[in-house]
Amino acid sequence: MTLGIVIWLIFMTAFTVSVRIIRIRQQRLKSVILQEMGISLSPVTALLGIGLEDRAYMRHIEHIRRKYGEIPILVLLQAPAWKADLMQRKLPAGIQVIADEDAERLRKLELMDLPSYLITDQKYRIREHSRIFDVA
Amino acid sequence: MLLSSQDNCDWTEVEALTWKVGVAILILPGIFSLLFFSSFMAKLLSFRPFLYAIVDFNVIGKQLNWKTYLASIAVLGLELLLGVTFSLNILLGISYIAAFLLLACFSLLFLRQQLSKKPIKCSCFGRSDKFTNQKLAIVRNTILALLALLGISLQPSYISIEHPHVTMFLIYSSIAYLYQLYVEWTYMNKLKKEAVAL
Repeated sequence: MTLGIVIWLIFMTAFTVSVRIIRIRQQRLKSVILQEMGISLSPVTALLGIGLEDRAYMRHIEHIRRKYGEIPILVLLQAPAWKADLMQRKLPAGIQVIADEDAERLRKLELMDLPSYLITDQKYRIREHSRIFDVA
Repeated sequence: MLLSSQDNCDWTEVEALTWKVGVAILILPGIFSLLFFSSFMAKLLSFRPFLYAIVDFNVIGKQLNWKTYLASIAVLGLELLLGVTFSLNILLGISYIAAFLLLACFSLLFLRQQLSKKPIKCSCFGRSDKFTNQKLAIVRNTILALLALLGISLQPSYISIEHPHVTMFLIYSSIAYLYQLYVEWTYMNKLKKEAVAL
């Protein structure tokens, strides 16, 4: 029995280490996906995913600014390009809006539960990945 | 002749009892142990999606706050406890009742969600980028709740902690953790494919 418990403890340690290694690898792959998506990004950026019918986007932007300060924000809008242009005109400098009508980019970045955002660090690694609930 | 008939009757009873004991001691606790260990590990490794799922079920409000964390810890704690008791084969009566209540609650939550026609990602057994098949989840949880009821009807001992099956605990917990390793590995491979495709 003692031998069994020792083997189990070794197994659990190996399991924990393996999961940690896999998670680091996953993070690197996400970073590669982020950089290869064809979006021009500053190293520390907030990527905010917003749905077509979401009219509270200013509140979401304020939520990110309040939490992370004046970092560049890139809004991925699940809407046609003309809607993205319309939104872009209403937003201050430092915030870029990209239309993602078929949600292909949002899917790759796993920003499918809208509104949600992710924060990248200096090495384009995803440091924070959160959903925004009603912040009103 | 009379004695022979009496013997036959006794043997039938013994066989029936053996079958019941076999199911009660081996199969049902094994199923529930694997189920709760897997579910616990999956939720622990995907803790944030699990918190979001609690908010989406809208039982304790639409905000992510301390109540959500409290509910998540309660569910995780109960699932771990049930995984341990079922694998050790101790406190089975109480465990079956707790399992039945938990699974019945899950079924009702999914039923409510299905009726409100709101899709949800439950993260029940690890990370998933697809919405949960709610009809399947209702059927699955209902069948498991019925199995727990069967366990209650078979298991007379409610407070027994004698002769814990430590080996089964080691085996079941290892299998459940290996499954989670497989889930993480599969997710990594999916990311690899996407990275290569770009």
